Amino acid sequence: MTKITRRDFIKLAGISAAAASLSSCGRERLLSIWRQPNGPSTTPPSKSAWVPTVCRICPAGCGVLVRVVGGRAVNVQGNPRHPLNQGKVCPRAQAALQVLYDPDRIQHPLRRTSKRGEGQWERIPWEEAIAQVARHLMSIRQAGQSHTLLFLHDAPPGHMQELIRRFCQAYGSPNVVAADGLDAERLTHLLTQGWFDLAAHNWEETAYVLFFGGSFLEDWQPQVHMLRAYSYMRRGRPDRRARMVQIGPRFSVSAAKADEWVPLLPGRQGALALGMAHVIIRERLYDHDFVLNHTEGFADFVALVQEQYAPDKVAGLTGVPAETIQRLAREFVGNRPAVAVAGRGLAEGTNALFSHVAVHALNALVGSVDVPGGVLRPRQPPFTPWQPAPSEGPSQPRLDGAGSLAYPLAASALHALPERILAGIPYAPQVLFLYEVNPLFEGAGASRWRDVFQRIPFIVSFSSFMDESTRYADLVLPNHTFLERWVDGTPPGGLGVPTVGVGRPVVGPLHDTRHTGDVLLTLARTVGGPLPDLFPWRDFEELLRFRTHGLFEAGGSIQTDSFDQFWRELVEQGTWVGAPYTFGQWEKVFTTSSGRFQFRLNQLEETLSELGVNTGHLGLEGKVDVLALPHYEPPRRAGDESEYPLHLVPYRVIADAGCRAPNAPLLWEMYGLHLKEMWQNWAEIHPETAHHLGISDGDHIWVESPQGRVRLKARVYEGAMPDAVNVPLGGGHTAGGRWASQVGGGNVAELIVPQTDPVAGTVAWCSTRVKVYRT
Amino acid sequence: MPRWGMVIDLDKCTGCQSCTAACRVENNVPFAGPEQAELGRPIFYNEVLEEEIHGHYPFLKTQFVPRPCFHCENPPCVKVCPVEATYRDKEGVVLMDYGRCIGCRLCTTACPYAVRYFNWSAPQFPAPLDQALNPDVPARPKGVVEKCTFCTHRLRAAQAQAEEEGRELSDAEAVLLPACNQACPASARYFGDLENPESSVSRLSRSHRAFRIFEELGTEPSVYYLKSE
Amino acid sequence: MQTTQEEILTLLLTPLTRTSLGFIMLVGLLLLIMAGGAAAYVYQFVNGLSVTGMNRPVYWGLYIVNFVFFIGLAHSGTFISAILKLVGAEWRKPLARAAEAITVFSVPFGAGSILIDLGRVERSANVFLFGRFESPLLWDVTSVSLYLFSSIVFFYLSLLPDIARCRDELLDVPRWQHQMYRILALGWKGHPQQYRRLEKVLSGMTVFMSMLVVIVHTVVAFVFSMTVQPGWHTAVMGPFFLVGAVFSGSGAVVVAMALLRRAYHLEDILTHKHFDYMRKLLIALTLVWFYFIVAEHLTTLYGQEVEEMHIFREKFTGAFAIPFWTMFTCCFVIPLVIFLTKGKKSIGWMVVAGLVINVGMWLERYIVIVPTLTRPRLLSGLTTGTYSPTWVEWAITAACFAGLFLLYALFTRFFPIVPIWERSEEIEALLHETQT
Repeated sequence: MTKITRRDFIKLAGISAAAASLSSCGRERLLSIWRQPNGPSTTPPSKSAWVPTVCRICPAGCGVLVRVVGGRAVNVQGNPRHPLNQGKVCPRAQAALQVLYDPDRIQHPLRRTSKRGEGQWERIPWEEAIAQVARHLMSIRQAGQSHTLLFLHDAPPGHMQELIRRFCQAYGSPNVVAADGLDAERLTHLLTQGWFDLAAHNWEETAYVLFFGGSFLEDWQPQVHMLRAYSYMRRGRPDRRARMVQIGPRFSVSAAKADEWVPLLPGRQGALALGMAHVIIRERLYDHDFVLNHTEGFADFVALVQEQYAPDKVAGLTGVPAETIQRLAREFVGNRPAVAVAGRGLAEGTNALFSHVAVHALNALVGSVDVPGGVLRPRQPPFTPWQPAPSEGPSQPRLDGAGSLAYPLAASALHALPERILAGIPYAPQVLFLYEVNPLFEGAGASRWRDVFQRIPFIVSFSSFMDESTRYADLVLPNHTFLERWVDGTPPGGLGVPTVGVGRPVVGPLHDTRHTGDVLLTLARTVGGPLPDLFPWRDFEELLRFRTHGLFEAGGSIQTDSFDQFWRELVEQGTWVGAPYTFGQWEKVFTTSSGRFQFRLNQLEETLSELGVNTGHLGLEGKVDVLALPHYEPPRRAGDESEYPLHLVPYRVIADAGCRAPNAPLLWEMYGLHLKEMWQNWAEIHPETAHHLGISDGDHIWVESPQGRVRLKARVYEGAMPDAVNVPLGGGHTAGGRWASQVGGGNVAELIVPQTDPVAGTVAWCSTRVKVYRT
Repeated sequence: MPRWGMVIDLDKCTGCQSCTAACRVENNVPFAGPEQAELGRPIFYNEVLEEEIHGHYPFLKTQFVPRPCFHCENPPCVKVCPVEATYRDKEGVVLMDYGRCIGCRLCTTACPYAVRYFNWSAPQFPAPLDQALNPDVPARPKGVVEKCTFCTHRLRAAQAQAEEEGRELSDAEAVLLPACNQACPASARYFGDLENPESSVSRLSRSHRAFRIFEELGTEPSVYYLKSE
Repeated sequence: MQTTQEEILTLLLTPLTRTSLGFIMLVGLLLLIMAGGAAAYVYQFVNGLSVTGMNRPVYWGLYIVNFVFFIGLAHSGTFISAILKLVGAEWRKPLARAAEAITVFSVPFGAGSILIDLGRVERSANVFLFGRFESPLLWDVTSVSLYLFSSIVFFYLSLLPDIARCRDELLDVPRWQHQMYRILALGWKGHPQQYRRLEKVLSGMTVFMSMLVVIVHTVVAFVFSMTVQPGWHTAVMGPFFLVGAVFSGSGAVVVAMALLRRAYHLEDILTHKHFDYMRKLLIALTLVWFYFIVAEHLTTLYGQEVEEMHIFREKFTGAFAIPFWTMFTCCFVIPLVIFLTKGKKSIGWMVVAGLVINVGMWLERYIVIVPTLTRPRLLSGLTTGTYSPTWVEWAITAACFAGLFLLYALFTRFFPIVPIWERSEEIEALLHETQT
């Protein structure tokens, strides 16, 4: 064996050691195959198409463009043409792809094979499913029991909503119950201005905004419009920066972005507004011109306000110092155009209507009604009018009591249903249809709806997701997701100028689902009676074509010679915009009998006396003559103060898409920005309160109300009021898909004692008291 | 040679997180799920940070700060990468070479802004969610680092398009080029060429409200913020 | 009583000829632990690093702690055999090989810990193919590779004459063992020139290794201190790591010495005197370690810089208070007390001190690495990371320690742990002769 000398050995060792650190020059060329740098797009632009449609994840209906590559939807952006969002979207629209491609979607019609709620289903063909529903409807109708059809929905403003209403009307049921919770605002406009709708706003000119109630940057309709408006009001006008004040129960995103946060427990908005009114009136700072020429009942209003709502008294009612009330009032009148907004979120109590009325009265005081920067009446798009629907037989009272002695002026009262159905008042429903609504999760008292469902012999859900309510159905006729179907939408409130969004299916249906609109039209044809004539359209697209003919005739943003051309353009552009808003058309703005803004709510007065309703019966405190003026109706609170010392404040975060996207991991992973929480909800507690109760940040606690209790993660949050507990809606799912079920926390709806605003019929989300304690 | 930068107006930002959502959808960023999220592993190329609330109740103040990668001119991450898996391209964008990254995570610890993220496991897109993947953005395997790329794929496509049409990429086109900017409802974000003194980002970066984060570290971020009033 | 050369030889060489039951059981146990670690690693390789407790912002955890710890442990060997040789501390001679063995066997686990930590270990060759010298990690790779390589060479060369002796004098061993000695002896004949050349090479390498010792651990520290993160970006990090390395290594040497003394009955070779020298060395190291701790933290505290103070508080009173104060107790209080009292007479207490020091030093690595990671600069006011190592990380850590012990035990089974040739009077005479 050759002897390796130590010298050689060491030389070799030295060289090898150096080899470990050789530079990369020369090697790079050799091994450049290993490198995979970021390169240009792998898809030539021509292969992808951008298809306009209307986002249906929330009621706003922003116009969106969806990128389709090889038959797959891969991106969602805003449609620049749609005046509501002008090319922008909120995070929920981004989740549309996760809605479409949700692995847990219901893929075909299902019939229950086990007991309700046990989750055993068999697949049945569409024909059979529709036939079964039709049989039910026909037999009920033949027995003269059409009114026992109960249709619960939260269809956003658009033709699904219209179709549902008309279907029920033609079928003979008054029981179309909407769940959107915004009727207090609508009723306010009906009583003060004569029309039942949300207001539109002209934010471009507004100089000062008082937001009472919910977080306008997280829980507003239409949300994206407000986000854009915020930016514009702050920095869009070089000479003017709008000032904003958030009055509400928590230091929300909006409170952080506003100039001032005025802590106020829900239900007390009316008092604060009237306190401000007192100051404005006392100092004669109101818009004399407007008040003189366009209002009625001002003198009565003045008398009431001067007597009852002095700042000191209001300070006692609200906890807001008298100096603040005075300052806010002076700011409000000193920065015109100024607008007072009562909120479109969950911050409503049992006095929702009167809160809204008091707040809206401020707008009248400063003349911000139908002026640039003020509160406008939305102009409805000139759709082709429906054929009048004949009503067969005597009209039956509604199941939810809306319009009756119980809720004389309400259009619907969803949360009054359980009590009435369980008591069998006024009759028993036999069929329940569920469309984009999940009462077993989102209804006040949540699980008590199970008992309600058990009383109804036949339940059909049109949901795309196996959510809590759909699990209790007998038959599931799954809808297409909005990217797979014809959609349309008119923004709720919003712009003033008539706007319509229309969208065709972006991708073909992934599964064996069907457009619920098409299903309803098929049912109409099958059920018979007056329905086939009233619903001559083969499918939803044809219905849209019929209705949008009116838009074609009106001209607006699409002017063509033929309707076919118009329709093609409409589908290609995704939106139609009508004539710009003309201010000061008083005959349109005030359709009250007086043709003026009513400080005196005559219609309320008249309706109550007509029905012979005792205000005490309604749970209202004042006498009718006070009731008929903007006044402070103290909120009722469920739960005794001594046992339940804290106020429960449920709220929505912007990432909460409710039952329309329960299983989108994208949204759950950005759920709680301010507390850096993901995939669960929590209970916010003020530091002093937490300390007093021995609760540390992150502890698990029970939050208990007279209705029930849920287990939540406590978060000590300085932005909570000392006597409030803030819990976001969304956590605590037990169904809806694999990701929905993994979301931690508890369902705040379980805690809500069902109470309703007796006049507007809206659920009182914020009228429950709770106690909290460690687990 | 353009040098790409971004300006974010904190006064306009409404904390809505559209930017975060749009970015994740555009860039095929996997979601982490509840357990992994609890452990601190979700990937957010762009993340909206909320400052610690200060002040005393009820006079509280906070700020929302959307934070993409800052694409520093003097990037600490590029300095420490042992294999040049992260590099600053000629136009100032700090990019990743996913094929070369060995996953040592020195860059993630070196970044003072914590903008870099690691794939702790293979990204999961349970079918049919994988249908929604953007074909323009490469998929990443487990064990490599990733971060905001200023939507470089969109940038390259736009530049290629402009070149084909025989023109320069205009400032107006650039402003909303990255997915985050495009989605922002408050129009609070701007993108553009910092070498062009007339571009939106250049002009805004000279505003009296403009600042950069941790400028004293000498990283020279390419993202400027405009402070709230 | 002066043991004769013959008796010493017998003592040192006899263990190499038989395998005790205790040895087999030990090896069996260590292999079992290593198998557990291997299984954990396979699990990690397949599923990704999500099986560990690391996250954002705590991107590094136990693996990097182990890396720094094992490299630090290795410094003892070089310190004792190289640096002490340079200053002519003759007493070190019997300990030298035992100490160097720690070096040679722990560096691989240090380097291995890095490989275990990589997200894409199959691409680790990229470091050699595309290495960038601006990166502290490359300095690390270079210096640690060099260190490993040179330690192995140095160790091997120092062992060479004794391998030859085994080849020549151990006759009743299995054939394969004899073959092993024959091959590894590289034909060493024991001529004076060979001894001279060996001495020269080893002296030269001593200088080189001494430089390396300083460089290696300083460079390891640079991986942290070259970032601008609070708690890391301090100039004291390099020297602090270096001192810590020698400190922990020396503690380990004491433990090794005591174990070997007991296991192989080397009471007359590794005497109380040696332990006393180590004791004095360790007192010095304890005090220097304390000096650095005070210097670093006093500077931070006085400066009151916001981000630095977050981490300071976490260490002193916050989430890391328990490991921090345990570390302090184990690295300073307990050892010093032992060294000044019981350690003077009792080897047992010295062993306790050595073990406690190493526990403390492992915690010290943890305290340096993790708290800063929980509070990166931008997020330091907004959020605090947390880190909870999982079974995978603990299993692999245990496997690394088991691996070190296993290699050590296997080595001592087959090779004399105390250098024979350096003690030999004949050889001393030979060397003296040729020098005069």
